[in-house]
Amino acid sequence: MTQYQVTHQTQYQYKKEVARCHNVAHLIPRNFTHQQCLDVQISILPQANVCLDRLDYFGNQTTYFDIQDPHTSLTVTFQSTVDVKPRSLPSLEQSPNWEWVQESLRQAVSPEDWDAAQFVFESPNIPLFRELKDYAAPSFFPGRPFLEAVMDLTHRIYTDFTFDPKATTVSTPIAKVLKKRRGVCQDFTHLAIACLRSYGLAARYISGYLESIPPPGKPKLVGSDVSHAWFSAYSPSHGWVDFDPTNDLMPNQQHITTAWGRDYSDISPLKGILFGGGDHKLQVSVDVMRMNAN
Amino acid sequence: MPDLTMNMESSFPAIWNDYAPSGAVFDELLTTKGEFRPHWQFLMQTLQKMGPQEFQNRKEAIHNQLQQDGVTYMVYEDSKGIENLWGLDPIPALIPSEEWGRLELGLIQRAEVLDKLLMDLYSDQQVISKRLLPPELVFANPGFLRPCSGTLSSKRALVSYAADLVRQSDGNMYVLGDRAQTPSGSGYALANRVTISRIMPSLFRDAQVHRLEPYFRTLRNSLKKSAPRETDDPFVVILSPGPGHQTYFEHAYLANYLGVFLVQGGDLVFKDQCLWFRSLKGLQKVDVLMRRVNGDYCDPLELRSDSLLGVPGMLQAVRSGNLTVINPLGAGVLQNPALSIYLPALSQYFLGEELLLPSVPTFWCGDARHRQHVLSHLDNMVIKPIYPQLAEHYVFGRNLSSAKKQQWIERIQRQPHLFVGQEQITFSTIPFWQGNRMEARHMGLRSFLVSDGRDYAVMPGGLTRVAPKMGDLVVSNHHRGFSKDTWILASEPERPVSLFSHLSYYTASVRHDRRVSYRVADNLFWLGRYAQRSESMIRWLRQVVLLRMGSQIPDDDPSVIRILQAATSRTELEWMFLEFADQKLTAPESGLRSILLDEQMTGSLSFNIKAMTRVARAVQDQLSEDIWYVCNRLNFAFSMMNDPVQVLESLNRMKIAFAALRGISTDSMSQGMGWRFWDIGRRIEWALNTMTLLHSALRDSESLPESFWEFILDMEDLHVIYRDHYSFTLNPIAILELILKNADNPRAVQTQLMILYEHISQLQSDEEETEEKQLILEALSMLKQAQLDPYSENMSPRETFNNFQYLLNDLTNRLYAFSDAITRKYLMKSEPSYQLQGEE
Repeated sequence: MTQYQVTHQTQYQYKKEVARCHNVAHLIPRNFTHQQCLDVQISILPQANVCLDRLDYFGNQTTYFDIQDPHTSLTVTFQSTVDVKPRSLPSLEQSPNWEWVQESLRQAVSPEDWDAAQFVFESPNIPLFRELKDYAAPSFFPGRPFLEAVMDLTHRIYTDFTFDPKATTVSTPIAKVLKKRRGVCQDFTHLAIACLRSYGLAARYISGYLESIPPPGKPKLVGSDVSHAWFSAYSPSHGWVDFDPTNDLMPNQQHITTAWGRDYSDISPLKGILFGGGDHKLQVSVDVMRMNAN
Repeated sequence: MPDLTMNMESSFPAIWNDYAPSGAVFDELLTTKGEFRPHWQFLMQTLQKMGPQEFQNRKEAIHNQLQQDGVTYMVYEDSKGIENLWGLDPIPALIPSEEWGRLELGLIQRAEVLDKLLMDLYSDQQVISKRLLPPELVFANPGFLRPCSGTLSSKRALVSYAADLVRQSDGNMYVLGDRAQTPSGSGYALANRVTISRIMPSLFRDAQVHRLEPYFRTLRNSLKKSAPRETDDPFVVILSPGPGHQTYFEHAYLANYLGVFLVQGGDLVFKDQCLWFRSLKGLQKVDVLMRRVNGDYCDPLELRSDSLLGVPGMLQAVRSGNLTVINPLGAGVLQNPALSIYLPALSQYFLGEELLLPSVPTFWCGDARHRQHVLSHLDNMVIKPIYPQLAEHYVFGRNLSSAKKQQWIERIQRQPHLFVGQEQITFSTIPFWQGNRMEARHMGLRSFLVSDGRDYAVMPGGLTRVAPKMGDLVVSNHHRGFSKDTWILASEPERPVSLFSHLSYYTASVRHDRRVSYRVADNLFWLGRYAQRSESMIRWLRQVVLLRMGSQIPDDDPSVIRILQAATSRTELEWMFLEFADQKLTAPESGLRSILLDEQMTGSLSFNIKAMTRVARAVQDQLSEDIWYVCNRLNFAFSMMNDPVQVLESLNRMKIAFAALRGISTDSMSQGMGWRFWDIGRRIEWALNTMTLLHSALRDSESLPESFWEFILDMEDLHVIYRDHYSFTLNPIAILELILKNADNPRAVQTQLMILYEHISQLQSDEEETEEKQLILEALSMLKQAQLDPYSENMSPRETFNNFQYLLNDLTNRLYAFSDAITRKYLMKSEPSYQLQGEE
């Protein structure tokens, strides 16, 4: 088991005074089989009028807060302590073929299958269109084991696409990403999910963090980390299995899961509506610190 | 009664001879043998006596009544909203008592099933795990709003529901569609009833028709009882997208009728887990919100982030148990034509009952067999998406070109689960008065239900709509179709009750001060300003028209020029720049026309009246029937002006209408906060207009003939008061004294300023020393000091006039500053909202 302390700080500077703001955050790591969140400290400046936690539709921790007094900046800091358990990664070749998975989803029998049905269809940021299926096709040849096909797709996205933070924004549609062959983790994740859904397979979007490892001999810099995103694919035989197309690997103890949903729009780390304010500047810093190493 | 069995040939007047429904379709009036159906016989006895002229008279009377009551429907063409008068046919649609009894049972049962389904979808989704409903219909449906999960009331989720019914050729009624998002039309049904019972009172009285009143009483009680916590006087609002919305008339009409408040998103704020109404006197907690805004647009924080129509936090207020929204956010998921396929099974599951009311045969393309059926019978299908916003609301397979058909086949094959095919059925026909003959037109009936928390009540009536053309199968207001009052015939007469007597909360004007929002105050303020501005223009232009009609007066007459300069001082017309009296007006005729009629020209009469009507509409629910009536008279009078011969008559009528408006506003409005802002707007404008006219007169007053001063007396209706004070000689300074500061003159600028001061004193406490008070006091003291003694010989008239110019300038500037200060303090409270940009 590995313990991390994650500090996620978001700062907004506004050109004009903001009269009030309402926000929803997905910034507390969720609990599930492979992970437990032990402690969370939330700091909001200026002080929030109300700050409430609840579970959202997908079972993620959601925080609502609002500020009802005029302000020109907003600083939101979430610091959480999380235990991440090791996963035993399945053998890719020994999974059932993807056609079986597709059909089993249609014939869904277990509650887990029903739940997976949420993640088969289009969602706000993931429209489905022909080019997606075309792109995914080489990975999904007939009879291929499901997990092998997904890993292959992950690998192809990693190889075919260039990581380029300047190429896209949060609102770049996947069609453009597919065409430009550039983007960031969020884009690659959306693309992979879209490919799977084009084949009637269930895939969900995961937001979280990745522990970055400094070059040998160099100390790790505080705040050098970033929010990360990857996806999970479902098979009735294996349940949900995670894949990281940005790093061409299957996540294990270095990935800390915050929330999952159909796509980014269900679980964006921090969203809000503000009154007044005009232009704003945004600065985010993330720090993932390993507390122990058993 | 021997003539009950008469047949068409023998006793119909000519207009009914044309009435020839196609034999293949069920006709509401006639059997296949051409005989009246029994429940029509009473009505037909009366109608038969009417000849074409009488029918036309009734139709026109209805038209006028609807116009007077301002019953409108916005139609959007090329994204431009056009306000259409509501269309209502004189002949009602009839449903006999026994049939209605059966329909009622079926509708109530359907509402109960849908209510339980809605509850289930937003809680544990048993219908999906029990395979009663394919998951696609929920999970792939944008109408399923996940954040709303767990926020629905366990008592009754679906409070308001409407079903679109059509009669097939077998004579039975079928459900064509369910309305659960924001069921609209009940207000129009009410307006139809009010109109028909006024235009055909005796017919209506004798026909034994079920009254609509009990339905609306249930609705009102239901709204009040829905408050999340028990309270004596829950604050109920109707949330409207605003005056641009198609059915805005209805929003205001229902708000008035039910005695609840009409609000828009900007009037509300979320704070401390509650939703609040922002009134001029502080925040007031909202308990119940009936929405006419689609669910996903109601909360930009948790639902559609680009919506400007809702309130961020609304869903959180519901979740915290501090607000009830009707229908609940998320109810749009029921507006899915594919659900009707599964309703028989769902009815068994939820109620253990067989579904009573059948739906029009529907096939869901997500099911392979169904899809096959749809694609191979495309010509007999109407294609609909499972959620209205996904695609065109309906497409007739039969009308598609072969290329288009191919496109649709591909589209359905690509995403089959998003579409249904509904069998294209032929609706029944009903007589419709076409202006010169009776036509058999297809019709559909929208039926309305409301729950009181335990049971559903069905409106005994509904909104019958007829197709815009003969043979047309689309019955929708978007296509300028007509409607009919819908009469459910009672087996015995009901006690006649005035529709308005128990329920109506129509008040003379603006209600409780605590409930006047910034938006309402702002609109009332501008209503006052535009109304007064228009009235002044009418007085001036009427004078000009009168002068010119006398025809002895040339266009370079300085009096005419001065008046026109004043009238054009807020427009782009160049007349106001004429500096010398000897200049001639350029193109007087066309210029005058544009001052009157060019709505594109800022400040023209047309522009001002349009602006006034627009702001009045935005606060329609705050205005009494009388005011609305006068506004409609005014618009009618204005429309006469298109005929050059009628210009003077039009101006005369408008002058009287404005006098009526002033009368209503001073004598029959409750003098609350809203009224105060109206009157402030009016007084500011009044004083400004008077000064504008004087300013223009004083530019080179020596060259003005005596007659000019007479015109001023005419225009301001000051002859009598002038004679009382100053005998018969015309003395310009005396006139100025009268207009500016004579205490006996209710129109004097000083009088307006004093009234403004009184308003401000009412709005603000005595101790407050504010900019507004200061400005008015300064203006008043300037007036007081002004030397306006007509008999004084200290100064030459020239000097006196020059001093006046300075005085007028100073006063005008102070009034403008006052208007700005009021706007800043009381009216400009809507802040723009933005979406916070997220990190990647």
